[in-house]
Amino acid sequence: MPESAWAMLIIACAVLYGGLACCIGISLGASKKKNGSGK
Amino acid sequence: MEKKRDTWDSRFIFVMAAIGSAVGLGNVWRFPYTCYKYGGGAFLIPFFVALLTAGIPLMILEFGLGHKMRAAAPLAFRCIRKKYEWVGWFAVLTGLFVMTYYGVVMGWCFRYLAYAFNMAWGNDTQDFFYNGVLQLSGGIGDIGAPVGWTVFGLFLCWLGVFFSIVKGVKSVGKVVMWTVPVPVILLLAFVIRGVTLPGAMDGLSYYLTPDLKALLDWEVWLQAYGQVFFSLSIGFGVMIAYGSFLSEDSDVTNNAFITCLADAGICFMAGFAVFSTLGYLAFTEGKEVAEVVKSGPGLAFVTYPLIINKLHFIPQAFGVMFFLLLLTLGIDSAFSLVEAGVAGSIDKWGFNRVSVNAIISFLAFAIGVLYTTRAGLYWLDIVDFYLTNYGLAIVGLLECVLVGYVYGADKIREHVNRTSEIRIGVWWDLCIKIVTPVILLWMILAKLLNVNGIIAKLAGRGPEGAPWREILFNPPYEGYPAWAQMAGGWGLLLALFVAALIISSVKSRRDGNA
Repeated sequence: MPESAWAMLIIACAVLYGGLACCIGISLGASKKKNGSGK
Repeated sequence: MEKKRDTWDSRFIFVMAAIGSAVGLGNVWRFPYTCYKYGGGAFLIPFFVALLTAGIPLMILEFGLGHKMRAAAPLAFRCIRKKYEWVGWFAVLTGLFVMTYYGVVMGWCFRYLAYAFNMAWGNDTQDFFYNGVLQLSGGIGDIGAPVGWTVFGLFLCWLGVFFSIVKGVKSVGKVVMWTVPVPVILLLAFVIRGVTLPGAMDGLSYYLTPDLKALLDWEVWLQAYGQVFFSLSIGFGVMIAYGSFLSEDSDVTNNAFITCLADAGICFMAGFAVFSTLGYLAFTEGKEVAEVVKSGPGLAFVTYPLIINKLHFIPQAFGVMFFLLLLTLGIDSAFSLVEAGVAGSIDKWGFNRVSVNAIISFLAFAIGVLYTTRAGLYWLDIVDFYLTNYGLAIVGLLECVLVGYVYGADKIREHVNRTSEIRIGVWWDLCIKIVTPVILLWMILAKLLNVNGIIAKLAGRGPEGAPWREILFNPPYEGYPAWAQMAGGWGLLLALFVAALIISSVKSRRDGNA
């Protein structure tokens, strides 16, 4: 596979799966905050 | 007394249901081919731009509208202005009509699932599909009798749809816990199997090597917006109905981001499963990948069975897995389209869920039998073209105009920002009021009008003596006769519009209470 194809693969993975991971992280963080830690 | 609206058991289940609805057969048989055809890896750039400027904003709009109005599409639009209730019904009816043929495609999947156990399709997969399974006639007017086994497959599909939504969000929640993760796992298995086959890298080169010149072509950008729009189940009222079942303090924006990114991620992953195996097929047949590439039913029912034939290690298992993948991908999109109609009817008339579900399922099944006839594929092709390219785009355009200008995009933005983890700014208003409607209008006009011909004529380069009708409009879709295009295309759209107007004018239980 040419280098340009690898570059697109990395960019796409970063945008799609990185973006998805960030959004899931935000939702997990928010639910932790919402539930509180017993304070 | 108003019955309290059902809500999703958890946020996780809602997100799974929304992803299940968005992800469908198109993720496997449309996206990879579109990406390959319109610039390879370079297509991903307009695709991401379209996702950010149209897909995600429209998803926020639909979730937000349902969440704010706490109603499915018809009532949600009625809450904007009473006279716009028909827009919601038009969206719902478009979805239900899409479902009439989507069920038939799933019926074919059921048949192929059974055939996969002994790979009954043989070596001539093309002949098997068109002449054996479909028994395709010579023309669209030669309808013939319904094909028995396809009717049975269609019946199984509708049985699955009926029971999936029989208890509303409660039963949907249970079904999507299986039908969303299972296809992702199966797809992953196909990716792993695919990339370890000889020739896979050649296939992936075709999929991913960027042709940057394509970015200068307006058609590529239009295709990217079309892909995003059609892939996300937007414009059928499904996401409005799903959003209406969210609890009042639920997040909207982040859920929309997760749904859209998961759908796009599955599209991208499917490209690996498809192109790695196409590379293998080209390798074994000594051809170029470009010679074996297909999309749509041709990929699923002709090319993929051929690839499965060529696998050395338990090909039957991969055959079963592939058609199970298509069925599990399709079923949650299918029942979400019906749920939009069921929820809309319950909102308006307070019908019993089981009865309205049974009536809609039976009627749509009966209409679907048309596509199981020997000319079914032709009719399916025409109806799909007109409903997705015109019906769906018109709904999307109306949604943007009604929410953006009539109701006020800022009101929906403020509403979702109150409960969402990610705050959206004025950029969202701009997307809803300007970017998305302009693109959708452009998409409709580009399908209808012969843009290149008009430009050529205006520049004095057009063919001499050609009638204006030919210069202005694109030729009839796939050369089907005019009467068929009228019946299955424009006529159907007009019938749906009239039906939407009639249904919206019927007195609802709210009018009765007033």
